[in-house]
Amino acid sequence: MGVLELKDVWINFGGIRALAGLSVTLEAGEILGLIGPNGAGKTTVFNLVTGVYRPTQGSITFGGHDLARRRPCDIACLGISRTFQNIRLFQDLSVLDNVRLARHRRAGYSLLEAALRLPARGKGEAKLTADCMALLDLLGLAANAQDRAGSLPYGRQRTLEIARALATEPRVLLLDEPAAGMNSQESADLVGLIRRIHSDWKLSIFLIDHHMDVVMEACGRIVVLDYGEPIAEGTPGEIRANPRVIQAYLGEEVA
Amino acid sequence: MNAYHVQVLTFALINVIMATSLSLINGITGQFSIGHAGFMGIGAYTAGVLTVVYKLGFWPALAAGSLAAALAGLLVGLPTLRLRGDYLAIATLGFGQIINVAIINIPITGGPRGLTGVPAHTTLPLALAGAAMTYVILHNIIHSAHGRAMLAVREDETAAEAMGVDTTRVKVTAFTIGAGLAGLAGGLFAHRLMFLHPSSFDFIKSIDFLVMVVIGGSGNLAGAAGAAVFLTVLNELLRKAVELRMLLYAGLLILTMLLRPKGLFAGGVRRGRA
Amino acid sequence: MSPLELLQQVVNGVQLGVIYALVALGYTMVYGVVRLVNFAHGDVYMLGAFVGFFAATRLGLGFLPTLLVSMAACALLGVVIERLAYRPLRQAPRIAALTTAIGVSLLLQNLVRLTVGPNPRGFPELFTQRTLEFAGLRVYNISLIVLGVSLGLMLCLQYVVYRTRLGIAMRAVSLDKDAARLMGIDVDKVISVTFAIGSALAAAAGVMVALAYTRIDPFMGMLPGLKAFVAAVLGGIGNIGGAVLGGLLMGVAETMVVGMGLSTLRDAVAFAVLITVLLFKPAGLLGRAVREKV
Repeated sequence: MGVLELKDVWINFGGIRALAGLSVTLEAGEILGLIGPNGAGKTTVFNLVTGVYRPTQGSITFGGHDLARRRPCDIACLGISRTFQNIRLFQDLSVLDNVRLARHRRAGYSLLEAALRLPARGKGEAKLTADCMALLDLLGLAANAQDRAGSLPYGRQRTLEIARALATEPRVLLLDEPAAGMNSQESADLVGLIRRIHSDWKLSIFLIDHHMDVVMEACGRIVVLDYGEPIAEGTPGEIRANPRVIQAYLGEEVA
Repeated sequence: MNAYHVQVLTFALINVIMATSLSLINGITGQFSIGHAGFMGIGAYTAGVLTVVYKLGFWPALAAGSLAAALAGLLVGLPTLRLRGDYLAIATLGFGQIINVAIINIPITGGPRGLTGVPAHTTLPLALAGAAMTYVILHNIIHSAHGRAMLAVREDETAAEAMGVDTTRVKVTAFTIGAGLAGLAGGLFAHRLMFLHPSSFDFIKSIDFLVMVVIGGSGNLAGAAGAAVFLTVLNELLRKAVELRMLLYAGLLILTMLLRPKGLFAGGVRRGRA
Repeated sequence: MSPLELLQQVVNGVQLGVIYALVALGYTMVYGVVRLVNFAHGDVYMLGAFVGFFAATRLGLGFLPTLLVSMAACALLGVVIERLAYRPLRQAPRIAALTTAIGVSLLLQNLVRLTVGPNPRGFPELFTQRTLEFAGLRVYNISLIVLGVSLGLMLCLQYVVYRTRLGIAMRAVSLDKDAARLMGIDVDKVISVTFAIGSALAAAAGVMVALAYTRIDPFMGMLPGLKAFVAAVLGGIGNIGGAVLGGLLMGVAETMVVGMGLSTLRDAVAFAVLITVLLFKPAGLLGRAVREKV
């Protein structure tokens, strides 16, 4: 029984069929890759899982909970966190505040206690800040804690997004093109980071990316989408050699 | 300082409450509300009617006014805060007008003739205490996990939701608190002016407060407070020249948006602080 | 109410409705191309009435020249406003543009108030008022003119939008601005023209209202502007047919409310409709819901 299960999921946008009959299971503790040409529907899968979209048909369950009709904030509280294809940091807030925000439900003090600046607020903030600084430190961002998030270089913004997602203490992490815009050194570092958080945090990770080196290195299993349909599933080695996958990416071979 | 100066300063402090409470909604949480004067009106008329008609004590009346406004904020906020940007602004405008129409049509408020005989309870020290308390409370809220949630909603609602923030709840909370404080300001206003008329709480008044928040810097509490005092004084100086005053406002709004969108007294960008 | 009285109310309502429709068209077209609620649009309508006033009194022009002068002047004004106040904010958050629009609205109102004075003026009679009796209904000749001119203008607009290249460009820009630009459409020009057309229609509405009700003042644009905006939202903002439908519905609804003796609530009707639409069907009767890309 997998951690996250999509069963026969379909979604249409007006006349466009974005996903057709996708069934995929993210097993506990695995790193699962999701690849496919542009427009194949990969981010749509993430949006369905996190409650941004509702499936037209099919079911999505997480540890027994049905996700299909829940609000994104509830799904996040159940233990699913994500990063975004186009970075969605809180640009004008500091690096530290971006991460602290993710732990807003664990702050430990009420609005009233905050308004009146009661002792619970001070204690809550101190613990919150300490926890978040520790996390930033682990990801090499501690020195930037007071910087405006939008001022960080692109690669570090992506790392910050991951840090923010981790701060929610998820069980499942959805990474949407974390290697976008990275050079080969940064990509290699990213693979290291993914492996590290996978083992240290005991996460199940669902990964979308176009950098094949990252996907093949980090993932134990890969699912391939094309035009909203699943066309292949297997280990990196199997996928690399799969003719349908090659055709989807490169097109028909001219005889 | 003579009685006239005291009067102006008292109103300036009441406007500080209005501007800072609006700043919580518009600037911190990013919800464009342009019917804020309506909540002031609810607070003013509730408190005023209670003291004048029902002979209730000042403090209970003041509290009731604030609560009534907060409740109105909740009722207005719940349905409308699902809307975004332009639509939300128009909806709040609409509600502000509905409140105005309601005030005019409820007989007990004296309708278009106004409500007279409101006892004078609001002294300068009281207004100062009210403004100071409002400022401190808002400052504390903003610099807390709850305030960060509001800022996150302003920055990127989708990302905030993805990080577990119940954005509707955050927006409604900000709106309710803002409305309640505006109601408090209204109660204080009623017991200073001693006379209430629906035109004191119309769309033009909402614009006054919007201008204060805009030039003070969105999300900048100190800026909003400063702008409130500045504009109240300016209003008094330009009392005779109504068109000039409005032209000045118009110019301030347009130029600030074109040249310094973060506010004339910028510094509204929040940086993290423990 | 007897069927005849009801019909009379409907007829009156339609006359009011076409005015709302003309102004609503401006709101809806501008929203379609730049996603901005042009708060100042109601004041362009007001300016139309005042420009018409000056054309008729100082220049002694007749009806048609007055109408054309007013429409031309306001078309120009619309273009200028867009160029100076809205274009620089195209990439800014919508709130900034909306705040500026409020500023422009205040500016227009108070400039007029400063130059002309706050007191209402009486618009000259460019026609002799006559009442016609039609199968038991009374119709003023001015109403027929308002209806005729409005319908004529709307038909012209229909032609422009659906049968000219400019119209295709306008529709393209409102569907996808970037794609339109990539197709070689001069987006800035299209937006300017949209503002010009919308403002011209509002000006025409202003002149005709001035003719029909004779009283003009610097603040006459606020409430009708808001009601016309509600009409645009009701019909589905961004949808031209929707603006006309919404305008007619609003006009009839308001007239009915007055006819039923609830005249103090006539303005509340608009807000009640607005809240209802926004809460239950924000896309309006004929509009499409817009999705945000995540």
